[in-house]
Amino acid sequence: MRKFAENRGNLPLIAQILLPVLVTFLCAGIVLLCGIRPFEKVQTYLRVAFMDSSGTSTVSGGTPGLQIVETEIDTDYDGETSTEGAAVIPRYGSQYAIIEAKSIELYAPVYWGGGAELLERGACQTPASAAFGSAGNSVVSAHVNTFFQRLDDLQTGEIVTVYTSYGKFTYEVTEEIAFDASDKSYLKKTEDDRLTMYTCEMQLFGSSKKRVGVVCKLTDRAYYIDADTQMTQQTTEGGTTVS
Amino acid sequence: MSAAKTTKQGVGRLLLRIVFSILLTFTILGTVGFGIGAYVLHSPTLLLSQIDKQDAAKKVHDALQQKYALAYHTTAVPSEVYMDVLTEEWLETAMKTYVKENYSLNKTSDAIDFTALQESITTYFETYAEENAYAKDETYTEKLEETISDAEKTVNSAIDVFHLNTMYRAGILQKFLNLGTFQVWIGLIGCGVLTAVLLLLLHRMYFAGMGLFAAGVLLTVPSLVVWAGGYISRFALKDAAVYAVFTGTMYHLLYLLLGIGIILFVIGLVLTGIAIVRSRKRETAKA
Repeated sequence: MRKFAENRGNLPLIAQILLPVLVTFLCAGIVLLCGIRPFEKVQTYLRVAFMDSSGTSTVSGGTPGLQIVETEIDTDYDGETSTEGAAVIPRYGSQYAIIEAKSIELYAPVYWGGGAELLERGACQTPASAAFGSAGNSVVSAHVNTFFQRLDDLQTGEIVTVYTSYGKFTYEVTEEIAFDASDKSYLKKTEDDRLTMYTCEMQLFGSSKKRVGVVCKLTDRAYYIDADTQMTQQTTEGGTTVS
Repeated sequence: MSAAKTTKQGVGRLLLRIVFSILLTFTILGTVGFGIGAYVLHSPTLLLSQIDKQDAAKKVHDALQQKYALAYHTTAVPSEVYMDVLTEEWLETAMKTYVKENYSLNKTSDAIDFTALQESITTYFETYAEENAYAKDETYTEKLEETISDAEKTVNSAIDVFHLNTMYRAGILQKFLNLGTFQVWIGLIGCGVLTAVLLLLLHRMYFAGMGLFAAGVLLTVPSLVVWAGGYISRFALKDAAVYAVFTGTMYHLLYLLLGIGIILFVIGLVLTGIAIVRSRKRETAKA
């Protein structure tokens, strides 16, 4: 007993060697669990920051033939606009818009199409829905743990702006919605011109069967008008033709 | 004191020390994390040094040269009109000014001086109009203003190699830089103090070493995996300058983490090893 009491501070050699390793594994597990959300957020921030500088990538191992194209969308267009115009439907898998809601610091690329590969890169617009600026219901979704993390913070009256290559469209939130995943009523065609944004309800583990989002009415259309013809074409003898 | 009570006390003390070791691991990780956060967010030094190191000005210059050379076929404005002004020195100064302005969250439209570029474009237009007897009418003025505006936009986009403007639009930049002024420093000091307190509480070399060893492994192993796997290099960015400065910055931070991790790992391993050897010698001596 006395011997044990004297040696009570000394672990067996094998325990002394293994204990730091076990503690390291335990800490690694804790770091991994706690690091999932911040890692996804950092990925999202990087995708947002470099979304117009990423070029084209062909996804291998995912959907066969899917070509994801990231394009530069001008969000500072200051040329002439018109309330009438035509939407330009992009190829499936192309980024064709940027959606912005300053009240919830939302600034995300929007891809035409859906699926896991596109949802990793930004919000996705259902191809069966109306293109931005067109008549009907434009439906956009994104993951709740990345781009649409604060979607349920959007409130009635707040502004959502969509920038595309052919125009800028402003929407105002009119309704906050929640529905079951099997309920398609909010995703159908409508008579009025609206934007429906939705995502999964936040859950700690696994995916939720409930969807949350907002319905926004279209308040302003600003189709970009091409630049006027430049300087009148003139040709001088032996000179240069300028257009 | 009964043997059972002594055993219980011994086990209790052991568990407490293990818990303190685990806490020490996290306070060390916190100190390192907040320290790097303060280093990156407090001032634009890291970004500015990467602009120099990666020769970003030359890359941007070459990209603009190519862009305006190609654009000549549609705009009829020779690339020299732009590139005689947009020298590598001018671009480097503009890039650094842009970074500093964004870091101060003081975005003003006149931070970059485009006077020389405006004058160059205007001079070309006037010369062309005179040579071709072109009337300086409304169309002429509109075209001139549009060309100047487009040029400024193009240059602003090109010199924003860290895409700080996009991050500002998305609210990300403000979020991080506002953190840098207060919370990061509080976090750094707090974690530093806690680390010191835990080291004092764990006055046993073995348990202190265990905490340092675990923190070192948690920094070193992921850094080695990222470095060996080339994950940073795989980032697909089409702009050469953006790719260079972004990957350069990421690699700089990666090497920093790796270095700190290796130091902590070695110190932890040495302390734990010494403690084990000493305890074995004590046991042998008692036996």
